[in-house]
Amino acid sequence: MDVVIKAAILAAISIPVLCQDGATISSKSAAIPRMSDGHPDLQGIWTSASVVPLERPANLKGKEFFTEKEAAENEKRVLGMSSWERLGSQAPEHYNMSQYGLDLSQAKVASTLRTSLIVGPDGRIPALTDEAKKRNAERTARNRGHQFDGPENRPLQERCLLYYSEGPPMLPSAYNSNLQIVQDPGHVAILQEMIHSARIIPTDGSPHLVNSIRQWMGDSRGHWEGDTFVVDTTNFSDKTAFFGSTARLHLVERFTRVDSETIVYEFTAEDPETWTHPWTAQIRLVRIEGPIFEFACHEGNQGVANTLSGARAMEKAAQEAAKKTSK
Amino acid sequence: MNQERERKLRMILAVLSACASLAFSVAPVFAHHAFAAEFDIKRPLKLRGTVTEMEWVNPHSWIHIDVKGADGKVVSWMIEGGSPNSLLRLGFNKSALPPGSEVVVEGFQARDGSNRAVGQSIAFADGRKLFLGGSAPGAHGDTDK
Amino acid sequence: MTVVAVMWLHWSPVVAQSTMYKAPRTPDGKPNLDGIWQALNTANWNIQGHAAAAGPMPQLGALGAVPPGLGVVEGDDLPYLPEAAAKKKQNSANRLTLDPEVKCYLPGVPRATYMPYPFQIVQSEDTVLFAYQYAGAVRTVNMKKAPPAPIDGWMGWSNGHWEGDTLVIDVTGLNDKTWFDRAGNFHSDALHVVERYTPRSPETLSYEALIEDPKVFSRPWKMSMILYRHEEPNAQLLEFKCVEFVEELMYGPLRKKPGG
Repeated sequence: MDVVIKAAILAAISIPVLCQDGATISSKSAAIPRMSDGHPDLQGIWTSASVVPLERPANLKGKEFFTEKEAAENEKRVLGMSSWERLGSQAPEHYNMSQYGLDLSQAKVASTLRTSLIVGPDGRIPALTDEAKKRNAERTARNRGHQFDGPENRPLQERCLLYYSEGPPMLPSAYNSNLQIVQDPGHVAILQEMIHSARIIPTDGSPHLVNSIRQWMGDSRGHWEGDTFVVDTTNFSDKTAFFGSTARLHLVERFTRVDSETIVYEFTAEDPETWTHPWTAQIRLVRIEGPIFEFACHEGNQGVANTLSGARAMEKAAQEAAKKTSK
Repeated sequence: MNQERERKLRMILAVLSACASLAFSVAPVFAHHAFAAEFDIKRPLKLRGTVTEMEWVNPHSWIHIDVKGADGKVVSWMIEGGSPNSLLRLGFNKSALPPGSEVVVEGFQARDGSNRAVGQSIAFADGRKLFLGGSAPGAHGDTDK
Repeated sequence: MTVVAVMWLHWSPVVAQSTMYKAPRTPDGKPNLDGIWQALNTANWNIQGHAAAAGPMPQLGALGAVPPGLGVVEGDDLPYLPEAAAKKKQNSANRLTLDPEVKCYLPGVPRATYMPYPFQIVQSEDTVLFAYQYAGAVRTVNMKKAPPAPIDGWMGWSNGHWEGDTLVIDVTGLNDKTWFDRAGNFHSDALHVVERYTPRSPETLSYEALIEDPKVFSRPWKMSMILYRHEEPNAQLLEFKCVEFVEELMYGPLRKKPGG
């Protein structure tokens, strides 16, 4: 199974700008640009491309941070992998990512001493509730043998409905892992390259949408806590299913600009119907030149049509082969 | 507290099956595009043709080429490539692959038998790889055929 | 180019003339266009003046009918070149299959402005963001550098600057796949749009778009309309990801047949 986007989990490297996580925030706060209202200016074009996976690899259990030397070695190791080694699968029937500049080694990536994006001693998504396990098992059983029946059986990403990296919360994607922030006195707008989603987050203290309105990307409200922009998101649709979660998903994101080139982005996800406790991940966003280019996904999408068409062709071939053998 | 103890027990048991259940919930989310379902590894091809158009579109670019068969008949093919956004950021544009360019495409044909293929590697007639060439630095030459 | 300049001087848009209104300023001293706006006309059905008419799907009854409209084209004349005029007729006759709106494709510029749904402006010194409720269409207007369009796209490439209290946006890099309306009015990839947004009162903007497309029209022409601010206290854009709703239309025939 092709897992192109899974490369985000097994990311690559480029510039080793090593810095400690968290500790530098207060000491560099004077150096960051500010809006006229005194709040930090989060504007710019940023990449969320990551060196480390979302979840801590088993062999690094209990180890939340690399030493500087270990981090450098890890970066070198991941950078030296071919696309397919990084993706963990041989997928020859695929275009060459390097040829199109889509390797993570061909992009700017933030360096980090972390061994995973998920913070804490465990570094992994928490255990699922019994309810969630049951839900997942039922979903898998329902879909088994039906993956190519119709468009609704295809992944959201293939349908150009929602990329898993979009969220919220935002996660690194295999390529084009870019976002642009535009800010004015009443709003912080986050525009992600894929798939051109604009989250315009008001800071006027207005309440969330009424309960009956559920959205793929939920409903976000922001406020400042000192120099950190805090975003609270609710009203998710159950179609979003971020890591198998439900409409009860509640997200808190925190954006802290630590210097002219870096924003520390952190999110905490909770859904009592899915995970036994909330979990938090931290991603460093670093400035890139850009620009963000239009990613009109649905308009150029041949994937769903060609995949279904291919499946119908395979079924037909199988039927004809069966007819031959039964003669 | 009862709840707390129960929760901890669940956590311990769940950790053992965490990976498995994660796969269920994550797999559909991660599978961006089932290339193996769309293109057939048993139908490898090598096409030499003339570019009529390159569509600089997402989620995948498409290179249209005219291929002249042994019988002299010209057949049009469309070859799937990657998102062009990174190339654009690197300064490439339409002039990088103008109509009339001679290219050699190695790839795999669509399962439905149409004149569509995924271009595993694309080079100009003189052997120069298109755009940024082959594998990433230090790679094991998986696609450098 | 000279022709354009001359015509520009001769057009004195009625809406802009009446305004002595000075909008509140942003921190960097520019008129503040921030807010949620919407056109209140039927240009999306037909940019020219039109009476009410039956729609292309009789099953929808009055729901599918074309509502009447005064038109937003100055002079109400679209100067199509002869071949283009024929294509427009064809578009109109086949609009159920050909109108990109049916498939939830991005509407392009200027159609995005007058889709019958709100859009939001978030304005900063370097960038003005336009976010449209319809199909989550967005575009960013470069206010500092004005680089040329590197590639064609659905929403084009927008470079903006201020002329007095008017935000002038120069849009190039538009592909040929969008329409101006549901009536089949179209353009080529040579389309060049110059938009002008001018605050005319606390609740309204005047909007003008100069359309140039030498492959389709014999001369440039202009559309103008008023954009109204959403005043309700909880106004916000909601998601209208219509891609989901067109899948049956687009992929239904490829679905596995029962018993297959």
